Order: sequence, then C-alpha cells, then structure tokens
Amino acid sequence: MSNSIPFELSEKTYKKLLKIKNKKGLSKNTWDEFINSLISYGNENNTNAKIIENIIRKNAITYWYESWVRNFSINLTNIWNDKSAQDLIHTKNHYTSALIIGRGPSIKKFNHLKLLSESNFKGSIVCTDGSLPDVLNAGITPDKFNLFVVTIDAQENQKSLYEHPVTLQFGKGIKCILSTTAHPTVHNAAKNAGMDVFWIHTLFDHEKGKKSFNQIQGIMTRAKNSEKKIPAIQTGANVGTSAWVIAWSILGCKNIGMIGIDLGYDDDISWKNIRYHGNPIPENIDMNSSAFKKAYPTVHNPDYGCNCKQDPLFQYYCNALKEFIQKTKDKINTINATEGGALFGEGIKCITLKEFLQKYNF
Amino acid sequence: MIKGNFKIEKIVQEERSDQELFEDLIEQSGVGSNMVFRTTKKDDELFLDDL
Repeated sequence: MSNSIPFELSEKTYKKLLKIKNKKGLSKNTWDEFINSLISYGNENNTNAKIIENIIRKNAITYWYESWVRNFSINLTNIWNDKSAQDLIHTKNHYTSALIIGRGPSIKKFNHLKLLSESNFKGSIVCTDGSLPDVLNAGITPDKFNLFVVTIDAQENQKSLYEHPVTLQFGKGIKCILSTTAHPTVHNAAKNAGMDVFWIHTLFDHEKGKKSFNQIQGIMTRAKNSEKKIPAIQTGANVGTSAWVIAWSILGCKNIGMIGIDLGYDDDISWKNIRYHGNPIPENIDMNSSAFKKAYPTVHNPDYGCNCKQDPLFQYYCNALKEFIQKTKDKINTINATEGGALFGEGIKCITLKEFLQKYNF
Repeated sequence: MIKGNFKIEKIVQEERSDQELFEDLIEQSGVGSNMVFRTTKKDDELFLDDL
C-alpha cells in the first residue's frame, strides 16, 4: 500500500485484533479495511451493512456447502441430459419486459395477482418458487402468460411447491429454471409436473480459482460434452434477486418490474408475531437498544411513503440488490411495482403495478 | 509500542459492547438460503456465460 505508516503493536494486542477481525468475517480483508470498519462513524450504515454481509456469508457457506455438493453430485446425470438456461439466451428479446413475482406482504395488500391476471401483460413473468401456487391459483397460467419459475434453494421442502395440485394442473407450459445445487427431488417434482427444466449454476466461491467448487462444477458439467455450457448467476442470497438477474442476463429483458419484493415486514406487525425467517427475536433483548435498532431497523420508504421492518436477513438481501441495481442502472431499467417495502433508491423507479402494466406491456 | 490512556480505553470498551451485541444479533439471525457472491473482478460478480 502506498503512503502506509509503520507502527508497533504488542503480540498480545495483535492477537486480540486478529480475533476480532476474524469474528467480524473480515479474515480476508486488509488490516486497513478492518480498522476502517471500526472507525468509520461517518458511514455507520455502510459499515453495519458490511458486517451483516460478512457474518451471514460466513455462516451460509458453513451451513450449506455440504448440501450444495451433495445435491450437485446427485443432479449431475440430469444436468448432462437436460437443457441449460443457455438455451433460453437464444430466445432473448431486448425489447420485452419482465415482471418478477415475490411473496412479500404487499402482494396481498394491493391484490396484485388479481390485477395481473386480468391484464394482457405480454412480457415474461418470472415467479419465485414460493409464489407459484398463489400465482397459478390467481389465474396467471401458462396458457395466457409467458411463465417462468425459479428455484435456487437447496432444501427438499421446495418440492412441495412443485407437487401442489395447481402446479400439477398447469405445470406443462411453465419453464423451470433450476439451480444445479437444488435438491434432486425438486427436479423430479418439476419434471413430474410437466415442466421444461433449464439448469443454471449459482455463484458462491468462483473467485477461489481452480479449487473452488464453482469451478469444479464447470469441469464436471462439461465432462461428458465439452460444448455444454451452463450460465452462472449472482443470487444475492435469495430467489427474488436471482429472478431479477435471470430476467436481464438470461431472458435479455431491459425493463424489469417487481411485485411482492418487499424485503421487509409490514410495520404494523409486532416483532413478537414475526417468524418469516424461522428464527424468533432473541428473548430478553432491549428493543430500544442501539444494537437492536441497527439489526432490526424500521425503514421509511420515501417513494411509497410507508415504513417497513427489516430483520438482518432482509437487510442483507436488500443492501445487495440495491447495490446490483445501481451497478446495472445504465443498461437495465428496474421498476419496483411492489407499492411497499424497503426497495428504493438510486436506479429504482417506484410506481404502482397498474402504471407498470400500462407503460411496460411489451 | 502504542500507548493509550485509561479514559479513552474505557469509552472504546463501552462502544464495543454495543457493537458486540449487534454482531451477536446478526449471528443469531439465520443464514438465508444462499449467499451473496463477491469477487475482485466486479464484471464477473453478477453473471457468467459459463463456469
């Protein structure tokens, strides 16, 4: 580093600092970055965002790594034999729009699925897997709309969404974009429902070079057919962000709308009644403490004039998606039509679904 | 050797305590279903045609 200043520390102090650095999930960051993370009071939100991301990333790979390797190995024969999401790239049309559907609370509050089902939306509809049964039950079916569904999660319980009676009724005609690390029973369930399956890789350790599992996945995918190419996406750690990446990178859509992507909870629900991410609020925590307010903030959305609550996972997802939208804003129009939630800011146009359907129906 | 004085050290300890509580809350909050991918090659962070 240029302009660096040497100084001395005792071994004891160094070891203490090293322990803190590792605990913060900053083991691979420079000492300069670590010390700045301690002292950047003027940019506290950014520092907290980095701490949240570093801790959750570290825990996620520890928790999921074996599942990803196991699922990929069992899926491999089907990955060789089925289609790649690359096949969808050839159909892309830069002039069409896409609409991402999540299952945040605004989707019911504003009756968005009914509004969409009664429209003649001509663009691509990319559902998160969790929203699929509700989407189909609302009449948003593949005979009327260009419908995709995405699964990136590794756990087996995602298959229930593909085994749902309404999914079995309308599965044929839906294009399923499936992570190569998804649970093998999800692939079976999607095929049993009559869906066309398109494989995609999800990026998590590609930067580690040839020893990374992502790079091993690439080698194994091409082992039988060197021409077989499967694209890899940033997931942003959740299926909603994955669907947004797929909409522009695979489907080639320039205008991408979103509904049900609240990335938070309704402000009028108390923390005691919130269980969406599985872990209840720790007991005996002072909800007026500074630590709690940083980890579980109430966010004001100035574009929709509403408040919403976020837990650390929603902060993690939201910060990453906002960053990716900013990075791509010169080539992609991201239109949030959720009408609530925490997604706003640079590069994000917040409007109503009705306005989106009028303006981007192509 | 860098030397500090007692008063400053005491203030830093109080701030760390709040920060530690914040980090404990994050540790307990769950792991999500996937992870944000980071690389120094920013162009490769969102999408790759092939692995």
